[in-house]
Amino acid sequence: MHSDQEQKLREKIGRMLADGLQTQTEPFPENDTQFGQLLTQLRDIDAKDLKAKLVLSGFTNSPYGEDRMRCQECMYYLVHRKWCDLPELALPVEPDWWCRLWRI
Amino acid sequence: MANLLWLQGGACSGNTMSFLNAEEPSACDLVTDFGINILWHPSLGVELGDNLQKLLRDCVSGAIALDIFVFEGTVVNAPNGTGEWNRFAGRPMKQWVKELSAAAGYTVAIGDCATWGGIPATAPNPSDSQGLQFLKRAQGGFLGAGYKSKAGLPVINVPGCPAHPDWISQIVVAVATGRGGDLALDDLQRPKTFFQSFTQTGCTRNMHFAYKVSATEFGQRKGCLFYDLGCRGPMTHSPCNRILWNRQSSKTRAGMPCMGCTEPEFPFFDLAPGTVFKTQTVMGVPKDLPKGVDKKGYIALTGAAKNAAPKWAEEDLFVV
Amino acid sequence: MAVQTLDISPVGRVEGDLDVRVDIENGVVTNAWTQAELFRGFEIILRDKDPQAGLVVTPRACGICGASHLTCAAWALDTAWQTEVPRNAILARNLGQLVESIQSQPRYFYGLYAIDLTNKKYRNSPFYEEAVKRFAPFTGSSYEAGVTISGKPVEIYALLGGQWPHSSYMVPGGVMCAPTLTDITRAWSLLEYFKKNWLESIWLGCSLERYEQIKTYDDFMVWLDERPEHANSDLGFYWRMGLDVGLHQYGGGVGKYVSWGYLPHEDKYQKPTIDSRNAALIMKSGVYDGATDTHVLMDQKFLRENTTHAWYDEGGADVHPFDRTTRPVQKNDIDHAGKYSWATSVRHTDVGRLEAGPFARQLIAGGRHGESWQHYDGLVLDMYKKMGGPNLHLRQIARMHETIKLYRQAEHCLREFRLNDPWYIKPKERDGRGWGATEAIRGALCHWIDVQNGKIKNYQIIAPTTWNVGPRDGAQARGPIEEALVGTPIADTSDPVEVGHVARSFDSCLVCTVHAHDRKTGKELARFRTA
Repeated sequence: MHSDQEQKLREKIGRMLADGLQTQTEPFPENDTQFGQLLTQLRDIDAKDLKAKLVLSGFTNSPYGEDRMRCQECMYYLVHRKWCDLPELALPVEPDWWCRLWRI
Repeated sequence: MANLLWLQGGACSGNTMSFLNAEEPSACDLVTDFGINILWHPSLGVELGDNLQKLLRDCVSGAIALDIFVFEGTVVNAPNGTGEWNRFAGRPMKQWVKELSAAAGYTVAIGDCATWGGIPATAPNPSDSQGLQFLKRAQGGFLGAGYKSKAGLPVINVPGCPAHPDWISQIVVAVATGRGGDLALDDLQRPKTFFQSFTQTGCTRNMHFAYKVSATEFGQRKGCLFYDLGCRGPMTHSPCNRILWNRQSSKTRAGMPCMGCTEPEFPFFDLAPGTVFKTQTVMGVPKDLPKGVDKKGYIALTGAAKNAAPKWAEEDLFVV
Repeated sequence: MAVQTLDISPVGRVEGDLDVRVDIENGVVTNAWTQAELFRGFEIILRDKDPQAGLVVTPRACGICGASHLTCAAWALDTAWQTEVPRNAILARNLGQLVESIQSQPRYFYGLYAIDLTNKKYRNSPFYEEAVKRFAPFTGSSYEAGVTISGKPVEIYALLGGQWPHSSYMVPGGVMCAPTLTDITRAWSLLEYFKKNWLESIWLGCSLERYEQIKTYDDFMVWLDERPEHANSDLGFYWRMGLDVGLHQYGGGVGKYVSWGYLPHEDKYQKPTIDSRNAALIMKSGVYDGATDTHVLMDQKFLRENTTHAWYDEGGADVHPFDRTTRPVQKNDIDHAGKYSWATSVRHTDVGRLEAGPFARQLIAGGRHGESWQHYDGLVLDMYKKMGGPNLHLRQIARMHETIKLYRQAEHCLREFRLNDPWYIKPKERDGRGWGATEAIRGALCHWIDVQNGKIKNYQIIAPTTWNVGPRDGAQARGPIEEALVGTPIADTSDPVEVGHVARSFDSCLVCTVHAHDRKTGKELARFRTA
């Protein structure tokens, strides 16, 4: 994906979240087994079904929870590309977003 | 001139195979250049049957000086403490081990099986296996915590699954050249010269570790294996990335996560479902953190690393 | 003349602990029993564990054939999980398997086998002095060169998997590594080094190309006499000395052979299934029956095991590995009329007891069965017929003959890698049954896995040594090594080197002839055997 395409998609996701898309932020996977189960569900989703991906992974457009977790500190976040490198997601994101596949 | 006897208990012969990969010195150099007289070895020895039994009895009686006794594999105690499931030269191997270690100048445990029990002692340990002086992290093992060889040292533990040939041959050379007394052992009786540093020390993926870039799946050309693929390099003591394997590489360099095989807990988590090649986490944080780092420090480090990460760290590094 | 019974414990240099009992009459073995004497119990360790635990545990069942176990473990999971395996990964797995086998050739020949030619029994042979010069342990010129260079091929394994032995770089869906150009060029250089410094210079005394022109027994004889370098190479020397000391006169065996085939073609097995494997292999599977001179394909469904003479309490019926209800005997006393080994006897439903190993592979390579594109090589089968059937000398020649082909296949892998293509396709973990097979250097190896509820329900292995070293079966038929020992001349019962020759010619590996049961109750929990 070219960076301008990525930016367009990033903006699109931003709009969806701003427009009040309800996503499954809970439960947060307590361990890697639950994390793995989420990944399995994500893999079953049609790769083109952006909305379903965002819903299942619990996307938010702001830091989440008491600890203010956000993409910026997440293991899968590529700072310069502003990109989620988790293969099951592989999406352009903003540093202040979050999802429940967050890992550090 | 030093007499060396090498026997195998509950073993796969992997340490022998590893040993035969050695160069400088090679297995042959040990014999021809360093005067190591290999009395017998299961894969290399000439004697068979009754002739071998006589040789073993002479070692026990002292008629032949047993300078170095190398043991590979577990001590098998099953069934019911008899050791009959591993018979050798006409009787349970454990009886030979007891008598030979009492007669030995130095006793060396080679590989995880002989040191901690290794794979055969993984729960539920069906062969009732022990290491020579440990069972997993518990001291004691088959010979007991008080065992000392004639040179006054406990069992010298050279762990690893397998042990690297250099770890084996350098220890043998040290003993054969009269430097056995210089061997400094850690609290698991491993030679510190090899086992003070970490597997991660010298890993080619250290930059990705530092900048928190993960290899999220196998077959990638960048990323650290610690974050997703269960690598134990930051928590494991070994020189795998200082003294390369087969003179070429190491598991972490090649893309395979370290499994911590020089530590007594190997295989970690007893290979329970979900634990193989996957980093164990609690609420998104690795369950086992790099040695000596606490959770708070780890999180702070991550924030700093992400802020500092250069652009190149996000791109493939080990390219065609 | 009275029968003299000789118990040899241990035989030694067979990888693990093998004991042999032979009856001797008039200096010739008239009956034999092979006893596997080590039990570690891996399968109970694997049971209820992570489906991928086999990738970690099974290479460690045998430090000698670890790549072969890993190959089986990975393909077994691939078929169970219905993965897609990229072309590069098939090549990378094959290459790992190949270099392990190439490693084993000089290491086995000098380290385990040829030492016996320096035994004092042969001191009257005109070849003896030279044999000592070449093959004496540690100091012999070829021994030292061969054992030392045997570490080189597995440096390629380290480039792929980080280390040999005991890497787990083959995983369902591909391999862990993504080699770079320098890894490939380094691997080429290592192969060339091995060829230049041992394979051509010491072993063959000629180029690979010249050796590859040998297609028949007669061609071999022409090659032998063509130049002194050929006759005096280690191959030429071994051939001549073996005939001089009579190695071609005994050690034949059951005369029936098995191979699972090996090396799945990189373009033909990317969607692996149990049933499509035979048609995807470069080196075809097969069963060869020497008595009828017929070749047929091998299939895992033909396999049966019998425990009449093994330390299990399961009746006398033949069962498929998937159907066994393994109940080991708690007290493993030796009873040569009854039970006397940890190894079970393995047989083909229609053909009976079979010999596994490189000799078997070469006899099967001489068949016209299988796919037209698959590897064919009639040399060893021709020698077999010209020499009047099997013997231990030819078993060695067959084994070493394969080296050149292994080498060429390794070159093929290096040529075919497409470095920018994928090495791994992440699979979906699922329940199911799988089967993976290969040919370890010492013969047919396969794993069965049954994954249920995300963990291993059952894991089973039949190893080459299970085929070869197994005890008598339900019909009291001897196992292949037992059969091969019958007729062996024993010159000196205090040093029965001939028994060692025969046992070692199979390159037996006892380290993983292991079965598992609960030590406390004696109740069968599971079963696992290798090598």
